[in-house]
Amino acid sequence: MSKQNRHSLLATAPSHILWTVEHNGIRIFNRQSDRHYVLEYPAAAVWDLLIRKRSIAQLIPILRAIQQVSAGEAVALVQQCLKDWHQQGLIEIEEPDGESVDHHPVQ
Amino acid sequence: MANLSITTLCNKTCPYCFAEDSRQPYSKKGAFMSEAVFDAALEYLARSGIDQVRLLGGEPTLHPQFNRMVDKALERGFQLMIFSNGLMPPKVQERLRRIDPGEVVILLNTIHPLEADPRRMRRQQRTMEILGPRVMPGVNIYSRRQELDYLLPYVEQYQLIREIRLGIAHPVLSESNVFLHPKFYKEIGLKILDLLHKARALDIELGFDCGFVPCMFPEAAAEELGEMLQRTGSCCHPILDLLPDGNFISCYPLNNLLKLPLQADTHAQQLMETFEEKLAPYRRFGIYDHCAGCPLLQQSYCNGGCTAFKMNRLRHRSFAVPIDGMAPLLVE
Repeated sequence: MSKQNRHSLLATAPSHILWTVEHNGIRIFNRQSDRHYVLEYPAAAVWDLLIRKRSIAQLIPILRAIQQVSAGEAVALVQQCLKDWHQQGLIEIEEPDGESVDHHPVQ
Repeated sequence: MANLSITTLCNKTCPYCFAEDSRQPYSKKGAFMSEAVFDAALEYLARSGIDQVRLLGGEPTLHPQFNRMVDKALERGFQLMIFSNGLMPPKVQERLRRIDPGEVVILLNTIHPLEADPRRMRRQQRTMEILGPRVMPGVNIYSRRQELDYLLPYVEQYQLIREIRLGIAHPVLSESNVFLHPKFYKEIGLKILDLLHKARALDIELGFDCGFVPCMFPEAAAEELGEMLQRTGSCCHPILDLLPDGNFISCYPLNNLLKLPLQADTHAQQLMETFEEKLAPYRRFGIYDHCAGCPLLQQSYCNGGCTAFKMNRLRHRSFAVPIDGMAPLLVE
């Protein structure tokens, strides 16, 4: 299966990524690197919705409503989050068969 | 500071026991620290410049060689501190009674009236009666319903050390024990303040174990609490508990985090640094969701409470979200 086939890709949180809800956002702790990240709103909302197993299709209208933005802007927000988190090692992009496609930066 | 956990056996089943994780792996046969490990532990204490031997368990007085261990420690000039529930064999009571009160402190974890165990309470009181000025009474607070006043008459009636030791029941990493949730800390803080007023009127001091936080007490009480308040916030640090098998852990609740073996050249300072390094990532947040933004944490006046509770706040929940429809995510 081609890695360029966008419909075949999954964003996943690896098991060494832990998180908790804080007063000002979501604290994410990478147990492998001992590094902390604090996701502030609205990135925290995106993380929270993904954790709640919302699909991207379900996520966009919610973000549009809470952020008062267009569909295109909501998509861009999600893209930016995925890109940042992938680069920071907070999520992995993988094919459904489990093959990781790490080291391919998200555009 | 270092505690020698000489046995995992206990004759009580406290619901809040934070030794629970560390007791699990041991069979009955392996539940006692061997004499060789104990001797090596005394060497380690001396090498580290520590002048106090702290014996705990389980119930340490159940170790068949307990009296012999006491003799060895005293012969080498160590002070003794014994963490006991007071339900000890008569031969141990008799041995401890013969020690000068200046050389031993028996930190007696009292049975709270809520436990409704009058038979064991009477046995505890008998131990207090026999050992009197060697005993410092204490209690572990695991329920918001616990009143604390019952401790004061013990001090007077049995002529105990005029200090009461208060501990909070913290969770172990497996969360298999009962513990006091931080949402009840303010409620307990008021009870402690009330106890403090009554205790001071009787010339009795209060001492705190680890995991108390300054914000559990009303701001107006800061002056009254004085240095006690600062000590509360800064006291989650590695205790260095040596398990019966000769492995060190940071403390009982963090049993599953890291174990380091006692070796011929082990030094407390070096152990402390290793455990501190392991705990450092957890110093940046606290037991409450607002701790990270709290000036007391940022100024290191408070380190955010019990690390085990903080670690248990961190969760992993997997997700696997199809990212269909996203603009090109991969580049060649």
